[in-house]
Amino acid sequence: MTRSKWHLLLSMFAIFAVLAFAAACGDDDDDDDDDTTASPTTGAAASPTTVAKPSGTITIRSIQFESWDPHFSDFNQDIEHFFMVWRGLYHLDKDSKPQAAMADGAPTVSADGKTYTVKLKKDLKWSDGQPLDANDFVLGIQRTCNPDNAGHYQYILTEIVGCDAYYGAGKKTAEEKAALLKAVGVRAVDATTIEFKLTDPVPTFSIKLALWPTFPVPKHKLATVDAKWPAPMDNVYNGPFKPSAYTEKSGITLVPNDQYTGAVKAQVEKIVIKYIDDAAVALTAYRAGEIDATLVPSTQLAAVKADPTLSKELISYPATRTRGIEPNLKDPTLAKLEVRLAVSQATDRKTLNEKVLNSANIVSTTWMPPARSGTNPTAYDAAIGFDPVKAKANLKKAGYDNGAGFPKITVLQTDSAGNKAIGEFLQSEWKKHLNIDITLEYTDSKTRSARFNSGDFQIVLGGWGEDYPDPENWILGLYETGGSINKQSCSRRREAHRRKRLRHGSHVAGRLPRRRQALHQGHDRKQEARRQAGPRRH
Amino acid sequence: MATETTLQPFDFARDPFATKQRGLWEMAFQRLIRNRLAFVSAIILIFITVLAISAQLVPFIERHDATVQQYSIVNEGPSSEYWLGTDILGRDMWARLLYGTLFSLKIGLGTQLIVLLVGITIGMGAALGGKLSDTILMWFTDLAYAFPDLLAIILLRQVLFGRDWPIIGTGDPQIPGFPSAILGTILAISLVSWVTIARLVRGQMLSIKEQDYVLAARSIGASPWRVVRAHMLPNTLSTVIVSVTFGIPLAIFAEGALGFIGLGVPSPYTSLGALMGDGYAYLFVNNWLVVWPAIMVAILMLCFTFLGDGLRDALDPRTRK
Amino acid sequence: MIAYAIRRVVLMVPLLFAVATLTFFLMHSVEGGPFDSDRPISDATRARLNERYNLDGSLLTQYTNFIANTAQLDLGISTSSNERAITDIISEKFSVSIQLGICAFIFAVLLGVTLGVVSAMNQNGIGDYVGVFIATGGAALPSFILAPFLIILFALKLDWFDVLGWELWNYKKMVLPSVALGMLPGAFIARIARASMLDVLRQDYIRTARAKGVKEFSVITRHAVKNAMIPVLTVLGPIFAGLITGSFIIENAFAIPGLGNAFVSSVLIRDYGLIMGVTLFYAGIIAAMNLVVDLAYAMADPRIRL
Repeated sequence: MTRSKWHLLLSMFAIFAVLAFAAACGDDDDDDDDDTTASPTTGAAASPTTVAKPSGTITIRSIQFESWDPHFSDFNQDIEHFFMVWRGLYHLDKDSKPQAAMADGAPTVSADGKTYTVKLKKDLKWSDGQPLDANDFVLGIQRTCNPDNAGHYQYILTEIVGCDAYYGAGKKTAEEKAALLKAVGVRAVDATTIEFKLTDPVPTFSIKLALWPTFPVPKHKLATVDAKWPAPMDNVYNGPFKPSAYTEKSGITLVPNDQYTGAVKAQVEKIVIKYIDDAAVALTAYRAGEIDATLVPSTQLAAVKADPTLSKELISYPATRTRGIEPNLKDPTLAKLEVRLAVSQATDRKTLNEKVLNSANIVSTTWMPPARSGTNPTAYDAAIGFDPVKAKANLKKAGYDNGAGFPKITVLQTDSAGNKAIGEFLQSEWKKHLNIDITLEYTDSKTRSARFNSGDFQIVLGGWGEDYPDPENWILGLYETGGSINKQSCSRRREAHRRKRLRHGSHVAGRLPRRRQALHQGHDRKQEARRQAGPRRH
Repeated sequence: MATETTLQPFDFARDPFATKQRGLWEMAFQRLIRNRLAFVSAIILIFITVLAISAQLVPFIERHDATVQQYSIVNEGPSSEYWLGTDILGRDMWARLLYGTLFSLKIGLGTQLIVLLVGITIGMGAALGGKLSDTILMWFTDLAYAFPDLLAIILLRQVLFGRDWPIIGTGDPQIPGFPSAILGTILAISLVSWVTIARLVRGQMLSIKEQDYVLAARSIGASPWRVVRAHMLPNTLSTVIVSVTFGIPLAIFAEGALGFIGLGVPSPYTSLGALMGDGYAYLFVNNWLVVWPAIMVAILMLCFTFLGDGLRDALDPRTRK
Repeated sequence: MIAYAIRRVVLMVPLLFAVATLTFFLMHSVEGGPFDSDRPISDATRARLNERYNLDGSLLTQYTNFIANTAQLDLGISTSSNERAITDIISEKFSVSIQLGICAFIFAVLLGVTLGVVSAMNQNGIGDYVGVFIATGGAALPSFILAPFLIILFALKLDWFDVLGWELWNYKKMVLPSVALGMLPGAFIARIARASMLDVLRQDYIRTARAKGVKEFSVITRHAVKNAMIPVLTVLGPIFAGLITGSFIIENAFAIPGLGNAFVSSVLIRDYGLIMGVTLFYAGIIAAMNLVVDLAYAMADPRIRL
């Protein structure tokens, strides 16, 4: 979005509510249809923690992945699958800290922070017994930077020297591309040593080395960076599990990968993942004992909490997802600060959460989820929190005394029971406190996204979920105008927290300096977060 | 004077012939009233329709505003104040149910009206208009039929909604009581469902065309229009009426299914389908939410079915008690 | 009749062509494409992706390419589903949907014809009311409510059947989806059958047959039912086509990986290749089914000349 835009955000932090008999696996919330972005930490649950001999079968629910290619995909359910069958150099533990996986210990960082050297463990093997060495990881990085692969998450590797240049070379000739590929700052020093050259010292780089865009490529399967990623049953794996059967839209069965040498061994003999699109259907299947873990749709949360058996099996944990509404600042009415303030102050987030969303969320007036950064969710309450008197006053200041002459405003949203209730709540509350009429417009999520990105909307019901577990990701995502992750809104993590934030577009005028500033801020917040013993998602 | 009372040859036939045309509908009505199930169904349908319409006009019947949300009384069961309880936002279910019923009735009847007009015209044109007309019209019918309904509805919805079309429009409704949300849905659904009637009418007419009584009527020199009006249409009607009465609840279902895939009517409008969809989402939380609209839909379905059967029997010229 | 059949088959080609053309241009006129998400991708990435899936160039170029490829039975690859060939996806999904569809169809026809005939023979009697009540009662709820109700009652409370999936010859997974899918068409068939049966029973040839002393059972089965099935036949074709092409709602309610589900999701995620492929496939099935019905209609009713 352009810098002239302001954002007014009612946002919500997410809590996963997971029903589980055995291992829990972070999963989709079908309650909102606009699920497209990814979380790096999910799937961790599939690698249990003891060294006992694997036994038993666990059946869990997921939804069909769209792509099996970790260097391409950006869908949450895809990434959940990737983490079960592949491993990067590092792997995020339940506290979202990178621990050595394929790497042998922490990376060696040069004095200027721009060169990372990672040693691989010895004798690593793919699931077919072929050796896994440094070149596989180099090829993985190159593949994500490859313009012809057009990976959605290339931005994660933007600080690797030459990655952006190569990724932007889509229209160039094969020779030019080959030269740019060579210039990408990653190389295999020897069979077990990988060296990364960065443009800037980036403290979060080892987190990124745990993410799917850096996963290795089996070079005995893919000779070049342009080769097609093999389908599930034709591929090879270096994670704790590997597929043993797969039917599209039906399910995938995973069995332990006996070549996997990680510290955390597979604990079950078999993971049966069933693809169930509808969360309500999945919950019924859970009640019938056909699946062992599923996510509770927020609409049914009250019933689950009231059920004597299910309430004991319910696991809630905060997720790093914030949801809210975003006004289009090109709209002449919404361009007025007072209008946005009025709308914000006319929104009773507490009631919305308790009555409409079954207390599934944490109310907040700031974007940053407390689970990630330790920020105070009520920090901006005084400025933009619920206050009908101030709301009326602000609307009057904007020239619409008691809603007189207020133009019709349309809220663009997807139609699901949960979203619908939010829209109806806003419609009713704003009428009550401001005497203004809003129209709700339901579209499918593709239309919604297209209109959102092209600015063809007045207010959109949106949100934002993180890509990797560091406040830096939030700050870049929120403040870096034109950045590839700015203004995205969907992750399948349940919203839990609702808040509003006003931000001056001018803040993002100087992109680069601003980013540095944001980074610093991010690190401060990270420190702060570490000191807090608040709940975290795993 | 005497001549007037003098019997003329063939006078015995005058009465039956003279009353025949008028008598078809009168006799049908008599027969309909005698069919208790159909008669009761018609009464119930009229009662529900009147109730749903008057709820929009008389606050005494609506009892509580269907759109007012009261967060202190969410998800309550039936009580003396809120006869059918309240929903997740504390709205009165009685008012919501009547509001949704009216919306769904408009969808059902509106859809079938268009379907009837289009379907009979095309079906008749195909059956009676000669070989070329049959081929062309049936080709279009096949085309409309072969085009997947869902895709058609999504595309039509996209085209019809949010643009400034005549009659549908975006602003205030140009046909009272039919804002663009309703008209768009009606058009989208009817444009994919007229095919069944057209095929039915054509099949029926092709069959009737060869019947003895039609041949007889033609052979005594009845005009083609008279043959169609007096012999063919009434005989086609019974099948068409069965299909139409069944089509009303089907259109109500179709609208509900649209909401199910995320393309429902926008709030604050609501329909029985939308109410059921919402109720399903909150199943186990507040079962009343799905029970009331489901009962209403079932009542409508049964009444339209019985009424349709009654009408069919009543309109059948061969029915003799 | 053979000439008629040939003419109809020949007419199917322009029909499919028209369906493809309409779908193609209308589909592209809908806002939002396969690569739209709230995370906007760069223009360069979009260009690469469009190229990869043959979505580059003007709409007209894409259209001519599509028609040329389709004529060679190459429907291309899917933008979702891990770039699988669209023909593979359709055949895999259809093999599930057709099993479910046939089971539902058998259920619907048995239910419909039985209830219709029984009702008609006891017109306005107890048998009639019971038959009509069963038929309409079963269809009184839309399938998106009927299916969950059946699941809660028979799978959750009584535990007779499974909630999830479809498996041939496993009754636990076959009964509920078939019943849920076949109920509405079954009720429809029952009503058509009843109406048509009543119609036929009053015809002169039935009276004649009875007068000749033909046994009542024989009158019903050989004369009445056979003729009463003509209007039923007209609706059976579309019903069969509708059932085997899969129902999104039933497949969604039981998590069955069928074609209906795949089609709805392809529309919602704008998998253009899959939309075109499934649309053409559906159109072909429906057109073929209509042809079969018309031929059967002509064979059953000798008065109809094609």
